[in-house]
Amino acid sequence: MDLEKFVDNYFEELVSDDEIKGYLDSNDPEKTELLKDRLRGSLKKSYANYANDYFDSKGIGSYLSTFLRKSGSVADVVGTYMFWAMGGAGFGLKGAGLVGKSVADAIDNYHYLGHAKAETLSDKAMDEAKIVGEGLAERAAAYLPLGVGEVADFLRGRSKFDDKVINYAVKYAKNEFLDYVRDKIEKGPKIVPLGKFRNPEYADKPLERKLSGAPDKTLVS
Amino acid sequence: MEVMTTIKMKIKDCILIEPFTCKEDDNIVDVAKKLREITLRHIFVVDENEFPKGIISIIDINNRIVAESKDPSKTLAKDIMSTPIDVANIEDDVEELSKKLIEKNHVLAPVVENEKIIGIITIHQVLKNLNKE
Repeated sequence: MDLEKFVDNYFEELVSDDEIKGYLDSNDPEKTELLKDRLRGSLKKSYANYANDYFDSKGIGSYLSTFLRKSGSVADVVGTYMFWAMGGAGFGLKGAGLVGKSVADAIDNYHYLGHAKAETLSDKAMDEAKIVGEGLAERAAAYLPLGVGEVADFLRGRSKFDDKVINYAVKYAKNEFLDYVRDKIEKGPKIVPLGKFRNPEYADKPLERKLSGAPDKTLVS
Repeated sequence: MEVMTTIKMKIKDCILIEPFTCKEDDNIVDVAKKLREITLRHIFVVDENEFPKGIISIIDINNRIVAESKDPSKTLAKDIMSTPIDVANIEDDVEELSKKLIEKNHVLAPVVENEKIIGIITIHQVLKNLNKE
């Protein structure tokens, strides 16, 4: 996934995120646009920090793992049917398919460990353990007569590694953006609203909100 | 030897008042209506980019419109506003601003961020925060 696609795909997702939405819902359209630009900036920054190296460094190993994964999946499925129809011979083909997919996973895992970035080493170790665990479960499930593992493997394939990288990048972008806006609000000046200076003689009339071009800020109540 | 360090207070550390503004082309009737709704005695005149260009006080309306028999509906804010004014930046030191305000006998100043007014600071706030340094 390249930078442009990453920003396009995840910008709207973050805009509708409950925490971020609270800051974007403003009566000042100019301020909203500025914050949206900042959010795009956070996505770009997070891609550069957490995903660029991983996606950029996919080389020949990626083609090899794709080939192994696809041919392994075919052998796995054909093996399953042969196993049901003929017994032992199918089992062998299925086994070869599973080996192919396992090698593909190993290649992708090696690339993931070498190039993906997580916030801490323990996060990365946990990811690796999770991916390996999921892989083993899929391998084991592939022997079930219903073919659960084959479907799971087919659906996820290499994307399980890509997903981890993307999830980190999106999470980082969200945190980076929220840190920025919270910092702006908490460290910015406290602003007393004009309503506090309202003349009681004219209190019966609604205060004209566009009395000033005031931007929305934290108000002192 | 004991080394004394002073933390410089900045305007962003102060409590500001939401901007109270009118446009340069607002007529004085509209300006007066705004002034009667709010107990502040001054209103800042801003340009199309929300940058403060001048200030009008209630006294200015008395002295420059009423006392001179001018038609307030035909006189614009830019015609009677006092200029130039000292504009403070959100990152400015309180001490520097206090000197300017005291020297010119001003009681408040507009505060800008990115060349746009974001609030008003009063001499009371300036002196209060100066005392904290």
